[in-house]
Amino acid sequence: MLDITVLLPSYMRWLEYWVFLVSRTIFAAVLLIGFASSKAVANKDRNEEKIAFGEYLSGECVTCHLISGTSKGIPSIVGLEIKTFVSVMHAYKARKLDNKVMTTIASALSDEEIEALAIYFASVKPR
Amino acid sequence: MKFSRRQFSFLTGASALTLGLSANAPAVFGAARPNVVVIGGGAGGATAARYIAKDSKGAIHVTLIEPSKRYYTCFFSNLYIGGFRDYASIGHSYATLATQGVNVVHDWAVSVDRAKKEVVLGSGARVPYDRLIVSPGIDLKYESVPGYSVAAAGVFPHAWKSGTQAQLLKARVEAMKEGGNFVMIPPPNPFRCPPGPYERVSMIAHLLKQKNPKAKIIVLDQKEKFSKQGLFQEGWEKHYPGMIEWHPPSVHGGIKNVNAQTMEIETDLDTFKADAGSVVPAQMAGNIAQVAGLTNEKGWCSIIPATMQSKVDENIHVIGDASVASAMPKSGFAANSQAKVCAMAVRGALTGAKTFAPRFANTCWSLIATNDGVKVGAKYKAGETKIEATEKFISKTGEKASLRKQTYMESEGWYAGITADIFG
Ligand SMILES: Cc1cc2nc3c(=O)[nH]c(=O)nc-3n(C[C@H](O)[C@H](O)[C@H](O)COP(=O)(O)OP(=O)(O)OC[C@H]3O[C@@H](n4cnc5c(N)ncnc54)[C@H](O)[C@@H]3O)c2cc1C
Repeated sequence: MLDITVLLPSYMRWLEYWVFLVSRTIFAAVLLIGFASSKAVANKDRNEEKIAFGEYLSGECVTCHLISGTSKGIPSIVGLEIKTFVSVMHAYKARKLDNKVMTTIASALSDEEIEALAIYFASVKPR
Repeated sequence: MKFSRRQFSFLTGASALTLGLSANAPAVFGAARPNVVVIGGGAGGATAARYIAKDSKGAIHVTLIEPSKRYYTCFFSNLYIGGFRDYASIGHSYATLATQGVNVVHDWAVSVDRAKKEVVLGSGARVPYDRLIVSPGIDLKYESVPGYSVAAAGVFPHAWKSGTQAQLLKARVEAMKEGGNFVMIPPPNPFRCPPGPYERVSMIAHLLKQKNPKAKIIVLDQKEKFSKQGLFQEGWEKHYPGMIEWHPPSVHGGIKNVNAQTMEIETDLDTFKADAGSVVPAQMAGNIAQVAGLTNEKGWCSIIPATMQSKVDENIHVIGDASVASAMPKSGFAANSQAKVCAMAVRGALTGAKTFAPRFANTCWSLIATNDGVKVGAKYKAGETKIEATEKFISKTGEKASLRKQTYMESEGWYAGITADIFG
């Protein structure tokens, strides 16, 4: 088939090329943004799911640990860094820390459950 | 803009519907906001009411029926008797629950019309429910101890239910003559708070040691052994040497009579003259459970472990002391734990809320003397027919004083935590 663009003056061919380039970039960018944001949405959903699961599991913690974040003989776990929470719970689970209430509670929690709890408590603001 | 009540419940019903659907609800839910009624605002009932109101975010209408305006915890009432707490510090109001969306009604539930799904109140009002949660605690079988009665409890307080009995008991211990006898009669199994009678003995000994050091405590038990026995007996010898005598039925031969006039307690072994005393009789589920037809032949309510539903009526859940929780003791901690499992099951059934595997736990702390705390506890799972223990622990005899002090501090932390979790 005849390429009609060869009939166009050369400056117009350049223009078309640029339009093509720019539109392709925009298209890619749109795709990329769309993809990234859908991934962000998925991540956010997953995070919220973990928070919800953590909140359910936390029912067991707040019998003793005040959700207000005050401590009266039992340390506060509200607003703890995720890393800290996870490593302390694993230390209880491995019985490297020795409080019997905590070793018993921790040994009944899976790694995912500990993570969900950590994410939940990190998300709570001390009152 | 103001909504009429009907419009309001229509709207919240609709939002419950969308909530339900978005959570992949298995069934169609009615347009009206479902009703949950809770009988009893104690450790179990108030927790369940609060969690359902909080977690359903208004999609479920929660009514709590409780006659008292203030709940005085039995837990830590021994510490009040021992002088470690004042009475006001163990009292809790329902005001926060009310502001958190629970309709608190101060009345007695006098019957349950299970066919119509309505609770009948002392005032005659009828309260409809889609699900009913029953947490009335215990009632006492006064006649299980010969000579004991409601009237005799004015002389030998049981102090085993929330109320002024603990104050009466403390006053009577303080009024004992110098070198007098205090007689304690603990209940037979099963009963509320297995270590409770022995913590009470410890706290009365603590009080007497300061005010009346020649006084004696005689324990006439209705069981051969008791919770944390080794720990308590070690502590009694250490802190209160020569002050406490404990006799099991194999020694005293059984309680033959309690006489509140002459203050004499008759057993096969001897007749004991008391200057003050506490009698804790055998127990059963709170009377309303019986009236509602929920109790078994022993006076307790059988349940399905995973949901705490009554075995006789699927629209009713029984939690706390009134339930047969098998391996779990009758404790405030256990009632609070069961309440959360029940609250989730009720939300799942009424709004299609997502449910997770049930989790149960318990720890009972006891104070033996100043800074000498001990604990016993376990994790549990919902078996097919019973709640089963998966891991247990208990304090050891001969522990370091620093650890015992830490255990006591922990119990203070627990009290602050659980009362906030129950009453908001
Ligand atoms: C001396 C002592 C020490 C204790 N120490 C501890 C401890 O250290 N740790 C621990 O975990 N537990 C302890 N307990 C046990 C704890 O108090 C109970 O296990 C717990 O209160 C049970 O909760 P519940 O909801 O089943 O009953 P309760 O807390 O007794 O609540 C029942 C409520 O129902 C209401 N009610 C009853 N009938 C009706 C009706 N017909 N209509 C409306 N309302 C009604 C009552 O007024 C009451 O408020 C102790 C108990 C005692 C006696």
